[in-house]
Amino acid sequence: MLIANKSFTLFFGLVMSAILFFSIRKAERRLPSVRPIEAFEAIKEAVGRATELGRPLHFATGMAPLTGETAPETLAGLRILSDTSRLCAEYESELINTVMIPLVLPISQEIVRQGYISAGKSDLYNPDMVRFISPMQFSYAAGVMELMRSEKIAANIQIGRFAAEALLLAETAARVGAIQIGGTVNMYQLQYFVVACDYVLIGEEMFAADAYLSQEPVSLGCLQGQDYIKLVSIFAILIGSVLKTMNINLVIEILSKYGN
Amino acid sequence: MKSKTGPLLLTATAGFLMLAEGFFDIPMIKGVAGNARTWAIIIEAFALGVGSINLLALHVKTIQRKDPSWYASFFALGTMLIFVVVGLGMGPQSSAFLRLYDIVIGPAGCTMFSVLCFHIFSAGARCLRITNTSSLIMTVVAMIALVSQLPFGEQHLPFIKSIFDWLMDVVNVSGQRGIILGAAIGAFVHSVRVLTGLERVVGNTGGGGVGA
Repeated sequence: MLIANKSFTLFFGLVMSAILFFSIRKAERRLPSVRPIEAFEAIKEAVGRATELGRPLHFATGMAPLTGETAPETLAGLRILSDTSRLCAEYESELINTVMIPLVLPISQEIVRQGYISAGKSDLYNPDMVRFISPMQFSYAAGVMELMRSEKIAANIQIGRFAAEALLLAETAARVGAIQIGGTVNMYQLQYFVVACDYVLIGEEMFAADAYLSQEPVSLGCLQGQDYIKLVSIFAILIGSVLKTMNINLVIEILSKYGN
Repeated sequence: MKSKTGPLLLTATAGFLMLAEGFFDIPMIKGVAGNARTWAIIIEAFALGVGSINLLALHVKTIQRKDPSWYASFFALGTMLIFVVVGLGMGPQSSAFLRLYDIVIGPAGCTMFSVLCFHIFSAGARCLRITNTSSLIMTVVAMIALVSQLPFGEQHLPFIKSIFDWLMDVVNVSGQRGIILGAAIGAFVHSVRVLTGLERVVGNTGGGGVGA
């Protein structure tokens, strides 16, 4: 029994999924190229700086839980944490990953541990590298601000879902002279990252992490598929705008009746 | 590879079940999805326990090592202990626990929020540093926004208000919608990848990666 007012949403979801799998097949035949994203390149610079100064690198994956519509943002942050931890292990640089969501803690610990193992430096891994601070926003911010000051962090990477604590952390890191990489989808916090951070991942750039970092056909295909879906969406918006200008409410009616 | 099949199958089953609940009106699916959500809450509660142990271990080590901020750890552990004793002894809905919560968390939250105001101010000052074309554009827009909000600008430079309104209603809104559209599609693609087992949260096993 399909819920009638959601039928168009399901149809569009299936169309988007089909586009995605078509793109993956296409990428397996020929790899698409990805434009350089400065923030990803800067991770190496951040780890290098932390190594040179002999001070830790701080990484935060934000406040989004692993269930719900904001979960992809945390997963994107965790994907970047994976490569950052491997790089920290290779350079023998200290990593501190602070966590706000309890469920993210064991996952982060495992990701960081895997990073050290894959770099062949499992002996350098310490479970204290991943620290649960608090599930409350401002308590977490207060804890991390103190940590940034006492540990004199050399680099700060904040990628995930952030709210009011974003600027508190970014400004504190700026005051201790840390190089900063920020990334979020939250429109209300993005501007603070733009102002306070040296490099910023804006919105969808965060989700390009796996494709950019792994350069594997499946991931690159997904990224290309994302662009195709965006083109389809833009085309649909244009058609809707033209029809509305001509006083034809077809698209609006379809969306209001079947697109909940 | 085989060790990954089980978790991937479990993820896909749970994910598609939740999707089916959203699109189909089938009582059996709703019941199973409801149970799955309850399980998620139970797992999260266990994770909170793991988090508390992590927190406890870290602060105990800080005190043992007599780190410069050991007194803060001592204070944090003391507060944690008081909350645990009162919460377990009198219940989390008791007036004593709620009062304790109000007198500690309320003022602490207000303090942090007021600190945020100062940070916004210092971030605003940082915004006015011109280092490249982008920061120049940002500074010009910030100045327009600032002047248009001031009584002087409103009274003597009315055209600034029109420019500011156009920037907010046209440039800002279109930019925001563009970012939201891209992010929403990105999140959808990411979700499909997780459901179908194409997403790798751990990316150390091969490929290029950062610094490769």
